[in-house]
Amino acid sequence: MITIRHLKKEYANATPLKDVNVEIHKGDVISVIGPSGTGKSTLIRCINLLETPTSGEIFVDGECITDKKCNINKVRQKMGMVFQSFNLFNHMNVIENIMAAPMDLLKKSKQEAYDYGIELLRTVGLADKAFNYPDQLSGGQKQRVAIVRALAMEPEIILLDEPTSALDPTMVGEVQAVIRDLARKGLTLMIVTHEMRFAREIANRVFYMDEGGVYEDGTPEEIFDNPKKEKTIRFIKHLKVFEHLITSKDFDFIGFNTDLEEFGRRNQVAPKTIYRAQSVFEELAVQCVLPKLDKDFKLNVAFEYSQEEETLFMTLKYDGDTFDVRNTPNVISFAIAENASESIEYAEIDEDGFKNLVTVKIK
Amino acid sequence: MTIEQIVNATELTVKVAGRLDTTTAPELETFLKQSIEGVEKLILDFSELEYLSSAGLRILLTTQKAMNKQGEMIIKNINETINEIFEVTGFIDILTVE
Amino acid sequence: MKTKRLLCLLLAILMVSILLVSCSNESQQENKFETFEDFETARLGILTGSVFDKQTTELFPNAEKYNFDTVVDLLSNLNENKIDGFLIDHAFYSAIGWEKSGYCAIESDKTTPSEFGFVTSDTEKGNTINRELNEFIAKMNENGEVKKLADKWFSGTKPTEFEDYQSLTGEKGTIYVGMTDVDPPWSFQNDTGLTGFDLEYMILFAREYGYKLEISTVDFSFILGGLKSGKYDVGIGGITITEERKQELNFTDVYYQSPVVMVTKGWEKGASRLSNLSGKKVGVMTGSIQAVMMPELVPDAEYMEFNSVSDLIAALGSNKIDAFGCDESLYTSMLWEGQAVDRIDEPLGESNYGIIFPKGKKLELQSELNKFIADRTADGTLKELEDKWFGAKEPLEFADYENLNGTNGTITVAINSASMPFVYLKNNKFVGFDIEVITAFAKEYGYNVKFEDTAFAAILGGVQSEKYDLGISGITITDERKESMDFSDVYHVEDLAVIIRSEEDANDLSQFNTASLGVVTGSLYGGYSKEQFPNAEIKEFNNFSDVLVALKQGKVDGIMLDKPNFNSVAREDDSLSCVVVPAYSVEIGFGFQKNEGGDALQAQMNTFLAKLDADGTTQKLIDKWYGETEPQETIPLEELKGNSKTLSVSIDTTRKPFVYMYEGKPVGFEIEVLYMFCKEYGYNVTISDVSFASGLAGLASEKYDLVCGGLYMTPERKESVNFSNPYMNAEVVMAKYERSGFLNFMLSLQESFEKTFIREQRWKLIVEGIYTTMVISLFSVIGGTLLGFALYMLSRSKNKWLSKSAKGVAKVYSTIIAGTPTLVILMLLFYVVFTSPDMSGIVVAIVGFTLIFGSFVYDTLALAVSGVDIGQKEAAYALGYSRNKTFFRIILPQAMKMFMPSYSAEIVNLVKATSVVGYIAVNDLTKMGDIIRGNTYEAFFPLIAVALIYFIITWLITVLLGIVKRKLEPKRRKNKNILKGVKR
Repeated sequence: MITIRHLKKEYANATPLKDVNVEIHKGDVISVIGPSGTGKSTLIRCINLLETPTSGEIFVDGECITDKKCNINKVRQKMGMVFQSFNLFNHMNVIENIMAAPMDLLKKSKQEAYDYGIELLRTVGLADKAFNYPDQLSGGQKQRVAIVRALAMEPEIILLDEPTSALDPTMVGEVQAVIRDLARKGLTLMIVTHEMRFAREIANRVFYMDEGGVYEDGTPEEIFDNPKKEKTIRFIKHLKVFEHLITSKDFDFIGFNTDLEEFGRRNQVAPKTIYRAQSVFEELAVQCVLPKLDKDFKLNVAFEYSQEEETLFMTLKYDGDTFDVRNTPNVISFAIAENASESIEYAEIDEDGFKNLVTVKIK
Repeated sequence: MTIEQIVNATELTVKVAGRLDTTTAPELETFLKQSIEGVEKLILDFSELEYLSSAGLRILLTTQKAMNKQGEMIIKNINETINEIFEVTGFIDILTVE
Repeated sequence: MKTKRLLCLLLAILMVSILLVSCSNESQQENKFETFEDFETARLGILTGSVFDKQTTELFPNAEKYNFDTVVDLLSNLNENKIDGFLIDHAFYSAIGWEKSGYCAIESDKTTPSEFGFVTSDTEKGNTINRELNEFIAKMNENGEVKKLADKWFSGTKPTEFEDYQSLTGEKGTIYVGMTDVDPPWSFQNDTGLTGFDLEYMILFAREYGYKLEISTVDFSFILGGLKSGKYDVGIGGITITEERKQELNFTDVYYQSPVVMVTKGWEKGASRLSNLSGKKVGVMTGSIQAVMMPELVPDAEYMEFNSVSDLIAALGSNKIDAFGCDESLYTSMLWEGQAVDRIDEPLGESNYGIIFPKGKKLELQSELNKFIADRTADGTLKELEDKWFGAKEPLEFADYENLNGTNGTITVAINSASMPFVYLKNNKFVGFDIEVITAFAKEYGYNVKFEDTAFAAILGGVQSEKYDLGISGITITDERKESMDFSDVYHVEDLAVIIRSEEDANDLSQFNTASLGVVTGSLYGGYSKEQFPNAEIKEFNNFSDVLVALKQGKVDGIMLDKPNFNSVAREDDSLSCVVVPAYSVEIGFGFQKNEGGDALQAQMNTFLAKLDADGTTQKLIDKWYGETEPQETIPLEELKGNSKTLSVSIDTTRKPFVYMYEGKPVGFEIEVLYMFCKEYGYNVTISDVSFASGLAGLASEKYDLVCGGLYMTPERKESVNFSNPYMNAEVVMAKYERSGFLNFMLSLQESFEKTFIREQRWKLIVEGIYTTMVISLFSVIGGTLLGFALYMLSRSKNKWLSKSAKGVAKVYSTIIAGTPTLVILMLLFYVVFTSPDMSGIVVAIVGFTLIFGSFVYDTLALAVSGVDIGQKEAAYALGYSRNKTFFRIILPQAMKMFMPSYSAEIVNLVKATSVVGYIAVNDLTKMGDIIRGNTYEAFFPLIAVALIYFIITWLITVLLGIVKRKLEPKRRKNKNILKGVKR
């Protein structure tokens, strides 16, 4: 139904979408997840052209909507949108909000618009609020009305941009119920959300957005239970990452340690574990690996912490000759490092210029 | 890292507080080299030592060797983690720990 | 509820403003000593040892006396209000005026004049000189030379030429003169040398008799000593002749007699002097000839410039200035309107009036007009018009400029209708001297005339820019003006006048000039009133009590009557006060039949009256019956047991206090005299109580022998009645009723209201002004709203070029409007942009305000729209609304919330801002108020009235807009209206 090809969106100081290529089929319920700032909202706002793509093409039912000649208003009428901040029309009451577009744009009669509107309101349980004004409603009620407003236009797809993010936790449920209902009815939905459980529950497809595009795309089981790619994993596992690229032997060791401590504190890593991490880093990276590297080197240190499993991993990636750190002559250091780790593994890799990979699970 | 010393005739007590790692070790090394002249008993008080790495260990080794010639070196008040390090690296046998 | 509160607020404002006005009016009253009698219990200064010591004590036994050594002390204490006045001879007083102003002299016939003489030594030479001096003095008195000299020295202005005694070349000998040098104006030291009245007198004497003079200046005591010792032959220095001095000194005859006056603070009555203005604030009209001439005449006054005559008058009235310069004709017209002003009676110069034309243009018209002026001056028509328009009374006939039927085209004439008596409005038509001149000219040369009423400055500007063919409104020819416009020949010349507030306020007759006066039909005072107050309104009543009631109720402002009558009425009512009318007095006497018997009786009465006069009884009786308190006694007429005949006497008991009833019996001056007369001559009396008119008729029919009733001995009556000699010459006064402050105030308010609105249907002007203001406001609001909206919509256009340029235009336009004063914008449009004479001021005003309002609408709309949350737009777009539909359906309705408050406020501001359109010749409400001010000289009421009207208009607009706002409020809509036609 919707095909997106090489979609790029560039701003003056950021490019949230570099190259997006996806297909959306009728009946899909797609959850769009990912860290903040990765273009999730940008993507769905490009679909209904609230944002104008810098380049790329979007086809809706075969029609290229990014074309200048396209009547975007007509296209939009086929797509509904639900906003994080509801955006109900403040100068109209609820039923007017719902009736406005069908009457103005679809030229429906007042009676028709009213009947359909009231019916929809009933399905979300707000028929009695038909004559209230938006500022008299709670957040959850407003959002439900917003959904009805979108439905009243009988759209082919509804785009929901973080529909529950602005809601009180007590009201999140009622809105999710409505969305769930829509999904069950077979409507095509695309939802940007932070609610992982909900995202997993209703979707048949999940887009994990990262690195300027759809980084990984799969079924909920695939993405949530078996994420394949690194960043997906990190995200899913709620991995907290502390990463640093060292390119000089005079790097700021003290600063690194301080930052590492800070990272640990922020993520509530056990103090002993932080200690050990520092120790492992100093012994392996500084004492063992660093001396072995040439003048121009790259040494990437990454700490990944999983709050759920409470495990801290350190990975070292370095270039230069292949050197298995486990074979280091610096036995003292290695001994100390080994003592502080549960496991130290080495692998040869060829990734971004790195030749060596050391993975340590910190005690 | 802070270094405190108490001289008692030929007995020198050096209290090392903080972290003894790659960056701070050289400082201690310099200090000890200068201070142990004429010392017969060197006491290293590690009650406030938070962190010890291999860089620190190497200094302890050289200092131990030097003190062996002129007297004795005793390390006091180490915590569990440092004790572990001594054990794992075998330094527990080389150093005199109280 | 809100309306009620608003009404209370309105009322409060009204009260406050009234209070302010009344306070400012009242603050002008001062306590002044004005007559000799006022000093009865005052604090008087006395020059120790002078002749005035005795006189002061004699004349003012009850006054507090303070002694001072020198006249300087007297003056400074007077200045500091430590004393209220002092007696001095007039000659000396006049010299005070040379240096200082702010004093005046009150004369009285009760004072004894000072006599001045020269003193000669008791030697042969001295005696010779004494004789010669007396000869000379007699000669000087005869040939009037002494008067000339006195005029030079005692007129109040310091002389500028002095005789030089050293230039005397007499051969006969030298007279040694001892004189003081500190007694101006008699003998004093000037910067030109020794001089003074006395010295000049001596110089004239010496010249005549061939003497030289040798002067020694010494103290007065040394003069006397010197005379005794023969060191001096003559002593001079304003020496008064007293009995004591005569014992010791040889005086010549009196060479000068000077009345003694009371000096007190105040302005000179009658002849106020220009020099009084030094240091005071003087107003002039900008660009007028007075603005140039007055500073030359009185260089050390402080000058303030004003734009119009009504401003000058208001400034005078509110004490902002003490005087202002203007033309004589203005002074005259102010008197027409009953303004309490005076004029400084000194020659100040003249101003020439001309008609203005655009420079170098309309040359044919100019030469025609000049020919007209020359011709009409020659045949006296112009003078006739001048007499008509610059006289004491306002003319009643006016030129008809609307029905000229000229065939040579129409001339547009710029005028300013606040220029009485040159141009002003009467019953909504233009009248005045200038109107008549132009109309006459137009008639003669076959033109039609179109008058354009505008601000004075706008006349000059408009003629310069050729908007008008010519301009006229009492425009004086100045050199500066000649530079930028052409003047016709002089068509009128006037003296300059300097106007000051009238010095006699409470007791001035001028307050009745335009008042309404009550008279009894057919009475003497009817004629007198009309004569004395030609511009007053005369109301007739049947009898005296009706007139009196009318006075008390405020239906009339004053009534003329004789003083004794007034006194008796005023006894009972403190609120009555009177002002003497010096022009009239009435003789009162008894009436007798005009026949032999009547003659005899008349003769008897005359003898009797003469007797009463001689022994002072008349005066006693007058004091008794016509005094301040009513005598509480009856006259025992019934006790008369004469043995001679019985006189039939008619008495008019309504003629208090001459004859009236007390405790059921007739009493009064005449009754008492009658009683005494009858007793003397043994008459009995029968009294008939009838009106004096009937009494007089009864005399003719010989019914009565004698008529009593305060009869006025008018010439007409004397033809048919034998009058006794008058027993009294009564003063005639104007009586007025001092109402309570508040009531008085309310009545003056009523009068102001009447003058401002009712008289000459001036309310029509107000209505026209309101209409103009509303028209300008309405069209500007509509135009501006459309303009602003259109510009905004353009700036939103999809077409990048269009929207960018629209925004650019808007920015420039807004900046210009915001940075330029409204008035300047209007004037630019009127004088620079739209110079066609067909472009009426109203149209220009509408254009100007449309631009101004449009700029505002644009800015406010942009702001309001930007205040609508962007999410609203996005939601609308997401639904598929087009850009325009979104704007009109979703954004604009919500923007109105922010837009409406500013919009309503700005509409109100616009209405108020239109008040400046008077400057571009539009007669809006403010201008009309100004015109009325100019015509009535009412300083305050028109202004307050106009302010109130503006307030009401803007209040109504606010209420209206409030209703609109409420109607627009989305939440107020009824559900059933929202869902009209929908079945639920």
